[in-house]
Amino acid sequence: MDKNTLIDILTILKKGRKKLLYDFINEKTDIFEAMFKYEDDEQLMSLVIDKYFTEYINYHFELLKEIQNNHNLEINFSKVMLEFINHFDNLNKNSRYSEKLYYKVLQDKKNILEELISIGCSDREKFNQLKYIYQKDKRLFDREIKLVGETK
Amino acid sequence: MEEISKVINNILKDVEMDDNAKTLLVRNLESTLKEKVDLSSLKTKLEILYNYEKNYLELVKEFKEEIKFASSIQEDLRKERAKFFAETLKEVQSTLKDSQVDSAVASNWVKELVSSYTKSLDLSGGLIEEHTLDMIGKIRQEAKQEVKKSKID
Repeated sequence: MDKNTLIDILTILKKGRKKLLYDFINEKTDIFEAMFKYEDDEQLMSLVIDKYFTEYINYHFELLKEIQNNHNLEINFSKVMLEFINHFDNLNKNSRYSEKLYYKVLQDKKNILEELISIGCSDREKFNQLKYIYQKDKRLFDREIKLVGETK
Repeated sequence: MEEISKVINNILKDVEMDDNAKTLLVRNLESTLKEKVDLSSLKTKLEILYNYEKNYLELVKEFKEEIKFASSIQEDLRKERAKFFAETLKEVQSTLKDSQVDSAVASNWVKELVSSYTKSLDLSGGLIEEHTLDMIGKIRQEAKQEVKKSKID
């Protein structure tokens, strides 16, 4: 990996970490509201946690958009993100409240990344797919939270 | 050194001279030659070592900026990790407590936060380590090539 690619990926990861801390320290409304709203419902709370950390993963793809992309960056970024998503996937499998939706959302991203890495090139369309998934994931989680809430 | 005395003896075998004088001559020649050979071999070894060190220093100079860069990003990451556990995490926990979030709920969120944050740090650390090892590999490779070149010269 060349130096510029390394700097770009390290910057993306760092911005991601900054966002995490910012959201918690500045009491981001979405998170704190959910902490009270679902404090008696472990399943819904688990869904909200999964939704937030899915958004956190997706944020890295948003950050990639801000950088002048090149093939080297996209491929190396894909490898790093695949490892990152695998970490969340493993956590999820060990979780008591493992949610099918979270697993599916992670799997979809993994599939695209694995494909990108295996063909060894950056495919504009596939990267666009990863980017549009950002909004889709949010909507899917909102639907699921609503559905689970209504059935209680 | 046994070889040298054999060679000298062979050369002198047909020379007619007193045995004691011959033995003395062989010993003297042997000792003088040994000294010369030892000095020459030491000089060669020192030259190789000197060239190796010289080339290594030149390479370190050549890679100075790269080494500084690797060391500074490693240091930044180490500081960030230390700060996270020593200060920032406490700040997060205190925000959750001040906001009166249920402790079990807060604990679940904090667990995920720590796991995500440290995984991101670990990934960064892995990339930095990979980059540093690549750089060390390059320096070693170039150093080896320089030594080979100086041996040929």
